[in-house]
Formats: sequence, structure tokens, C-alpha cells
Amino acid sequence: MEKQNLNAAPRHWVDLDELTPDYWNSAQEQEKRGQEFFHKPIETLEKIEKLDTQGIARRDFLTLMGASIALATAACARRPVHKIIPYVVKPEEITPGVANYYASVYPYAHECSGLLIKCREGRPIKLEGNPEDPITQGKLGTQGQASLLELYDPERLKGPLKVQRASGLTQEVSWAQANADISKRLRSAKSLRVLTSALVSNSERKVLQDFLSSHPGSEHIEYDALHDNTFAEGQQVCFGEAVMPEYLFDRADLVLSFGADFLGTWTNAVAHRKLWGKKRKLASANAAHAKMSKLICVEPTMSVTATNSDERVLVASGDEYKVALALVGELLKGNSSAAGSAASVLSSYSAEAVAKDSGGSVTAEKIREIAHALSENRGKSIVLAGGISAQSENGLALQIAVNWLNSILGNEGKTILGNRAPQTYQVQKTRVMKLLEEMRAGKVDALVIAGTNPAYSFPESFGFKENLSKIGIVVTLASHLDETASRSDYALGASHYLESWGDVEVRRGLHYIQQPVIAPLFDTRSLGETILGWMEPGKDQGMNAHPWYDYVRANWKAQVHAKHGRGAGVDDFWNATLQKGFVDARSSSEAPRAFRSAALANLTKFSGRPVQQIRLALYASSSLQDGRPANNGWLQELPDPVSTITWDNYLNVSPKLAKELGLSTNDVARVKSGAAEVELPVVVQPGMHASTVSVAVGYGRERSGKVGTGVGVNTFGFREGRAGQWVAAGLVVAVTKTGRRYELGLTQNHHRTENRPIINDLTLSEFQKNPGEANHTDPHLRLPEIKSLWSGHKYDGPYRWGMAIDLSSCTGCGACTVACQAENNVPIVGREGVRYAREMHWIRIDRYYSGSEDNPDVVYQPMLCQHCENASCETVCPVLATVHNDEGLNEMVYNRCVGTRYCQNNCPYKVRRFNYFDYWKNHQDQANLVWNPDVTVRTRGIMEKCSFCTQRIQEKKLLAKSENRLVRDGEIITACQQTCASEAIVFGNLNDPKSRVSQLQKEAHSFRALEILNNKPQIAYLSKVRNKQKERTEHDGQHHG
Amino acid sequence: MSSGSNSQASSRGSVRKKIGLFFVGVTAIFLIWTVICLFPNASNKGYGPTQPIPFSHRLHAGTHKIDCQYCHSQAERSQHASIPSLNVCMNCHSVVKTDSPYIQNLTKHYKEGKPIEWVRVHELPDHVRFSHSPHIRKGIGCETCHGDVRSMDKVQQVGDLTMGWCLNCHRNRAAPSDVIATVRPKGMPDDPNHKGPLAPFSCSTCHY
Repeated sequence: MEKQNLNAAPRHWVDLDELTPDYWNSAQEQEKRGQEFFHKPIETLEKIEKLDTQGIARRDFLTLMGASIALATAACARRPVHKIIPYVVKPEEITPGVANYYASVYPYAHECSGLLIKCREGRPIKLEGNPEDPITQGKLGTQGQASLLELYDPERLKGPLKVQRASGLTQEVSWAQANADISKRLRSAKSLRVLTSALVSNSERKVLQDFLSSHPGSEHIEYDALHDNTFAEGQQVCFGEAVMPEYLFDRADLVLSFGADFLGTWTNAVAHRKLWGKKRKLASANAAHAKMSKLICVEPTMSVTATNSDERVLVASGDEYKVALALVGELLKGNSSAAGSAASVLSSYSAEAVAKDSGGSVTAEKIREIAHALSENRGKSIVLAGGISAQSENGLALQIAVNWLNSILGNEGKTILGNRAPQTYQVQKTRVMKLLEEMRAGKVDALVIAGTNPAYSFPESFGFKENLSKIGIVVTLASHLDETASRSDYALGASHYLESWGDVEVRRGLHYIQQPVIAPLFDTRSLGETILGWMEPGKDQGMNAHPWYDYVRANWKAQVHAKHGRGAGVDDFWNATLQKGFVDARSSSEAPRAFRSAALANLTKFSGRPVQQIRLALYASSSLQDGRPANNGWLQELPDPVSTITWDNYLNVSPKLAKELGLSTNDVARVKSGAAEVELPVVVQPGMHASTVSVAVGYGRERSGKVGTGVGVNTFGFREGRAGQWVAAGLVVAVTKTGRRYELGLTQNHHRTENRPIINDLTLSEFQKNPGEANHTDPHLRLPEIKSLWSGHKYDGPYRWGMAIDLSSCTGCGACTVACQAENNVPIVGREGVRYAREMHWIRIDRYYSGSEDNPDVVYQPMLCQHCENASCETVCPVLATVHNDEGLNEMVYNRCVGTRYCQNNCPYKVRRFNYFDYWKNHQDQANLVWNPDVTVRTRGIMEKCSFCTQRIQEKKLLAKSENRLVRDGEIITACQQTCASEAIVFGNLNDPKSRVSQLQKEAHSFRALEILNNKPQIAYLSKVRNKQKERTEHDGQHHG
Repeated sequence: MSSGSNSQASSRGSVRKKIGLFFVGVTAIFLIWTVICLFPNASNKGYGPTQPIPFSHRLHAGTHKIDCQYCHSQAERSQHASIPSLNVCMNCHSVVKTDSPYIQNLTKHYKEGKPIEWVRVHELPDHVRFSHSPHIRKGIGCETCHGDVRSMDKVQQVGDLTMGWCLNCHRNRAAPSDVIATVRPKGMPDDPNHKGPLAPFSCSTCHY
């Protein structure tokens, strides 16, 4: 066997430093690795003393503690007396200790999923996708998973507040008082404007219409900070109607994306991951004929989608449209009549011209190659563009070119359905701009704002904040006293969606019922309830009156029952829908939409910018999105999939540009455009276009709460309103070094595997030739049978639990991390804790690069406890707190653990987490209600790690036992597996040769992580396969001397 | 850590503190020893607190032979056996023995919607997960763990409820013969003296 050359740069690398020769052997690195706290500041003794004991020195405290424990034991041989308080009248459906599941919906236009809500003793403790949902099929995204924590946020508005706009002083009022005053003042207003986020509930829309119709001169405007206006406009211009069509990635063999982060932050990402994942799974049984879809990304930044691409073409931000037009030109070659009025435009964007303009990052051959691939996949491809980072000056041209491409290729009606169940997706910005204009002119008397935070997300240049003072009354319905609510006359507490009724229709014909699973924790109301209160202010809602529920039901009866009831009684139909969660009345039409050639009039020769200028692209953060959930610690601490940074936004700079500007990671740079100027920490991001920098929006909230206030920098200010377009990309900026440093909560350097090869990846052509080990990237990943010191475990019971993780379909989105956090009571540690590498996630997504730093390949690897047979942790635990059981689980017994951390040090996968402090105490007041009662909440000094959701195993095993059978395959679903939209994770019984997990583990392209250590993990990874025809490059080869 | 003129005073103070701590330490060791002698297995066996209403199991379950699960109806379905809610009591006591002051107290609670705060007798530590349901479903009698509640006026803890005590049955070290007869797993020889595990005893069965 070939001897590994440890001096060579690794084939897979995490950090750019590793590409320096002899990195892992350098004296400094060895020193670093020898010292646990080489980089990290250790809390001074003083600080620990303060934290623990408030004044008493730590050592004295420990001594005293020893004594007092003894005393306590002696004085109180009886344990503390606990009370049992039963119900007076037990609700029939509640059995203490047994969970109830209710169907509902995660009701946002950006991402809408059917839900199954797990409730214990009347409180929701876990959100899961509704498996019957025809779109998301049981899956839920990151924000959906985390939205549970927002319900229990103790800093939510707890009722209506009257705010003095000048001083900001607030005063609690009752709903009756507030409604009486508000409705009086709204009635006397000549021009009332209601600004909401995109409404998804038909009843909300109707009640608002009812309300506005009694207020002459009023208007309803929808605004969401991340709404894809350019996309909507493109749809409007090209197809006559602004909709978000269905993209059927499971029917597409080729996907070409111009900056649309459809697997990450774009609209309906969960559905997209689900469908895309179906085309990324390979079986080695018929490897020679294996097929998978191909994803090509044309974009300047490293979005989650870009990191999942098979091929990436780098263009400067704002120049994507050039490539799209060149592709149109190539496809229409020899058919000049088809180009119509745009023929002359196309001629100026020939492949050669675009290549020349690109400064070398795009070649004419590449464009022809893509055009050829597209023409080979007519009707089997998808071309798409979207998201905030595609909203450049020429964003509309890009949209039109993309729609044109799809209609040329005949994808409309095949892979893109605009008629079956599209989502109404209006162009919001026109009406918003009109509102801003009216506000500037002082023509608005009253403004009601709900579910959106314009004071935060409008750039200063829009003048929203200053013109608020010209409005007589401003009423905001918000979850927190946020930037907008604190500038209003009334800040009304909004109910969480888990506390309120609604009937949601995001995709036409798919009607969900949103049902409350808990009574409002505070004196809050939903939008519908609030408006009903204004319509009849005298008649306020008593305890037993539920006017909003009655309203929703009446509306449901008229709109849904009348059309789709199929003769069932109203009550029966309503109850059946409540139980199922939705009514599926989608149209079955797959008719293609006709492309309007009139749209081509919008294509002209655009004034380009020289590619050398530094351009800024804004993008949506994978965790915070538009900044609404900023006070959600689960999301703040979720590492960004690509940069692995928590708790901050930062400026992504390419290695080349960083060198030019003298910047390195953690340097603070000043970014200045015509509209805004901010200072941001820098991250040197491999794969960025050389002259494009990018930064996430959604950070820098001024008024969010203890968690979210002041995290990061608000970058919405860079957005510009220019000639009717909202421009968020391709912005020319100046970047300068400030000389200051700022330490980001960067997790990529934590939990390293010491340069041991841990990833296996191959191209599709290699897979087709031999999916087995011969093609494995690194021969050291596989070991022949070797002699073991251990006698081995016997799994002679019916079960042996194991997992298989498919690296080809894992998109790295991080939903599993949040799902695990919710299921297993995993705490958050804060930015400072992350800097010390103390994050507590039981499952993390490791991101590895390979290839050149300018355009690397990326592979994501979900890393969790491998439940090794020869576990390194078990042999070093002095108190037997971690032991192997007869079902293959590596058990962690919290009550035995004394916190030596030997196990953590000895674990080669670095998946064990230590509670340095009582992190659970961060959950104050109501936040305690989020804990899963089936999982122990760990205290300080305890080691913890993935348990394979042992509480779920236990639950299903007991169920099977009581039914006198064995657990069925697929019956136990771990939390990470449950939410994984691309179904990369499969859990099951390895003792059953027919189980899915056994089959997957037998695949020829499966491998175990760090097999060389003979730890024998119960988890098998399926090698990452990329759809690249290219064989391995010389760059890869040189490191295997 | 202190500086200047305070240093002498504080060092004297710390000597005094150390002497104090030494005595505390000695006392602690003595007390721990006492505790170990008094409570060899740290069990709460014999604990029987006074309840807010002197409900008698002897009368209900013993004399009147009401089935345990009439009131503790969730034992078969849930991890908790559960104390019955007041409406279960009122099923009978809206007509039975309404002249008793205790029943009047009970009725008052029920009408006012105020639950009764019973004192918990059987309690496992927080890090132990025990489910009634599989035990009941296997046919293990309540009295195996709870003793002869039918004869108790005031409920007392009879079993040790310690880990060793649980494992005695699970591992079949000292399981009562009726338990062995009930739960003998499939394939186990039909020999009442057979020694072999009766139930899972890996850590994660109870600790997670």
C-alpha cells in the first residue's frame, strides 16, 4: 500500500492555510495542535469566580461545597418533597407522558410547509413536516425548525403598548382601550395605508378587504425585504402573470442557475432540495448506467447552491445577464428570425464578446459547451435566476433571458409548471415606492404595519424613518418592540403562528388550515383578530368568544368547502381537514405558458462596467434570512454552511483580491458605496469571483432582543432604488483596510481531523467505471481486514442501529443541526463560546474544499457520533460513563460523567461536546417550555453527544414490544433524518439485511470515516459523486507522491 | 490577590478561614459516615408522607376491590401511571359519602377548579427514565414494585427503587418467581430456576 505523504497539502482542505507547503508539519502548527488553548483566550480565574460563586474564591467555594453537600445529605435524608398536581378535569385528548401530534402549517410566503406539531401536555415541543404534504413531503427547513423557539421567546411583546414617538416611552394599555382609540383615529384618517408582509391566509386578506372597504381612500401594500421583485417582474413581462412557478428538479437532467440559491435561501428551498435530491442518488448495482442530474452555476459568490454545483462559472456580480444572452445567441444560431427584435442585442453579446468582457473568468468554449449541453437536454433542463444577489441593475434582462432560454428549450410545461399550482408572486416594489413617495409628500394620514419591519430593512435613502413623523398615526403589529414598532404610536403584540388560526393558500389550490396548538402565551392577537377588533371596537372579545375562528370557518365554508367539499358536511369536512392539515385541490394542468416576445423589447444594449471594479453583491443569510428571526439563538449559532461562521455577517473576499488589498480573515474592512458605508470583518472565501465581494443582509438589528440586538452590521443600506429597480448586486464599492481586527465566531478550525483523509469523492464517469474502492480518492480510507485487539461486540439481539449518509445529496443546508437542537435540548453558547470552540451541536456539517482556491469543489459531510464498535472514547473513560450497548449504540450516561473530557480528547471525529457552563440557564422564563421532556437537560461539567435519538428508539421499541412484533424498517426516524429534505440520512437496523440502511451500507461507494483507525463506525458515508466528465486533475494527483 | 495594607489582615483571615474549613471538613466526613451507616442504599424505602386528603387505598382497592387502573388509568399507555384527575373521584363521590368533611373538601376543590396538591411518594431521580406502560403490558403486577397497596391506609414506599433493585429483575438475579413466570422471554427454557436476563439492562434503557 502506498504510504501517505504527510508533507503534501491535503486533497481536501478546510482552511486556505493548509495549501501552504508542509503546513501540517510546521513547528507552529505542531505547537498549536499540542496546546488545546493555543489560540483561545482562557477565562481568567477571576472571571470564573464571578460566574460561579459571586464573590467567594473558587477553591474555597469548592471546599465549602464538599462540606455542604455532605451536610445537606445528612440533614435531609428524605429527598426534597415534590408535589403531584393532577388536572381537575383532564382533557380527554391529553395523556401525560404521551405526545399528541397536530397538523398545521408553517405559514410564510417565502417558505411554506405543512407541519406536524408534537405536543406534550399541551405545549408544542417539536415541529416536523407533515409527511402527507404533497409539496414538502414531511420536510421542514432551518427557519421552520427554529420557529418553535420564537414561540417561547420571553422578550416578545406581551400585549398592546402605547408608544410616545418622541421619547420612545411605552405604556401598557388594554386591547379594548387601544382598539377604541386606534379605530377612531383610523376612521378619521383621509388616506389610510396598510403595509403587511405577503399575506398567505385568505381570511386575513378578506378581513383586510372588508376593513379597508369601509375606509375610503385606503390601500393595502405588501412588502417583504427579500421578496424577489426582479423575478416577479420577469414573470410578469414574459408570461403575463407574476407567479412563482413550480420547478420540478426531479424531471431535470440539467440545471443551470444564474445566482438563484434554490437549494439554500431562495423561495421554496425545501421543496427544491427534496426534488433535486431525488436526481442525485446513485446505486452501485447498475453503476455502468448510473445517471444523475448536472448542476451548473453561473455566479460570483459561494452560495449553498454554488457549493453543490457540478460546475461553476464565475462572472462578476451584475454580469450574469451577459452569459445568459450569449447562451440565447448560441442556441438561436442559424435561426436569426427567432431572435426577433432582440437580434441586434444578441449580436453584441456573442460568446466571444462576453468572454472578452469577463476578464478571463468565462471562456467562449465554456459558453458553447453549456449551450450544447442545454440543447441536448431540451425539455429536460431548468434554467433559473433569482434571489437578492441576482438583483443587479440588469436583473430584469437576466430574468427575461432566462425565461426565453426555458421557452426555447421547451422546458415550460415539462420541468417548469406555471399553471399547476403556482404561487402568486406579485411585484411588490411598485406599490411600495408609491407609498414611500406619498409619505414623502405627507399624503399619508395613517399607517398600519404588520409582519414586516420596514424601519430596519429599507435603506436610509428611501426616507422611510424620517417621513414616519409626517404620519398622524402609526400602528404596528409585531412580535417584538422592533425598529418599526418602537417608532409607532401603538406597538401591538402579535401572536405566534402556533397560537392563531388561519387558512393558508400559498400555492393555488393547496389549502392548509393553520390551527393553534397552544393558547396565546401572552395577551397577543393575530392580524385577523386585531382587524376584527377594529371593525367592532365596542364588542371586544370575551373569554369564550372566538370571532376570528368563526370568521376563518365561515370563509373556509364559502371558499373551500363550497368548491371542494364533495358533498361532505361542513363540520365533517372541516374536522377531516384539520386532522389531515390541508385540502389538495391543485389543478392538474401541465400546460406550458406562452412566452411573450413583447418582453424582448426590454432587452437593449446595456452599459457595462469594467470588470476590474470591485462590486458588491448582497445575499440572504442561510440562517437569519431577512433578519426577522434575529432573536432566535438557534439560528444565530447555526454556522453558515459555506463559511462556517456564527453570530455575525462579514465581507466575503476572494483570495486574490484579499492579497491585493492586504486583507486576511478577521481583518476589518471599510466598504463604501454611493449609498452606504459600513465596516465589516473580512473572510477570505475561496471560490469568490476575483473582483466581487459579498455580504449577507439580515444582521445588525438595532432592536431585536437580548440575543439579536447588535449582532453583525445592517447592510440593507447598500440597496439602491435606481430607475424603478431595487439594486442589490453589482454595486460598485470601494474596499479599504482599517487595520483593526475582529475575531469572528468561525467554527471551521474547530474539531479538525488532523489532516487524516476523511472524505471520498469521485466523478460520475469514475463511478460508472468502478464505483468501488479502486476509484476511491484516497486509498487510506479503506483498510483490508486487520487484526483487532478487541474481541468485538456481539449483536445477537434483533437490533443493531446504524446510519448511512449520502454525501452526493447532502446540500449542507444545516436544517438537521437545528432539528437535532430542538429534539435533544442542545443549548447555545454565544459568540464568545464559539470562539473558544465550545459550540454544543451534536451534528455539525463539515465543509471541505478540493481543487484550486479560485474555484474549488466543495463537499459537505454531516458529522455526528459514529457510534464506533471500537470506540476510542469508551476505553479512556475512567468512570464508565460512556459504554457500548448490545444494539450498537455508544451510550452516554450523564449521571456517571465526572467531566474529565478524556473521551473528547480521544475521539478522532471530535463529536463530543462538553458543558463548560450551565448553558441551559440561558433559557429564561417561558423559554424553558421548549425543552423536550424525553431528553435530559444537561448541567455544567457533563459530556454529551449524539445519541442516535435514543429516546425515539426507546419509544418505538416499546411500541413494537406492546404489539408483539419487531420494529419495522423506517419506523424509527432520527430528528436529523426526519427533516433532511434531500433525504441524505437513513437510519435503521443493521441486523436486518433487508433494511434500507443495510442495503446502503453495502453499496460499493460507501466508506467509513477514518477507517484507518479501525474504530468501526456504525455510520457509513456514500461517496460524493459529481457529475463531471473530467477525470481527476493534475492538481489532485500531485499530492499523492 | 489583595494589595497594600490589607494583605496582612487578609492573610490572617485566610488562616482562620482555613482552620474553619478544616473543621467543616472533619464534620463532613463524620456525617457522611453516619449517613452511610444509616442508609446503606440511599433508598427512600418506608417513606409515607401525610396527604392533603387522607385517601385510603385499603378502603378503595382493598375493601371495595376497585381495580388499580380504574383510577391510575394511564399506566398501561404512558410512562406515568398518573394520579387521577378530580373528575374521576367525582364519578363516585358526587353521590357517595357526601357527608364526609374530606369529600366536602374534595367537592369544594372540584367546584372551584383548584387541583389538590398530593405529595409524591414514589420518585426516581431526574436522570432515570422509567415507563409504566411496558411493565404493565408485560403483566407485571403493580404490587411487585409498589407492595401490597391494598392493605395501606397511607401509601408507603415498599421497594428500594434503586438501580440495583431494578437490575435484580432485569438481569434475573433476584426476580420474584411470579415475575419470571410472566415475562420469560421467548426461547428461554421453561425452568423457573433459569438464570438469564429477563429485560434489557443497557444504560440507555433508562438513562438518556
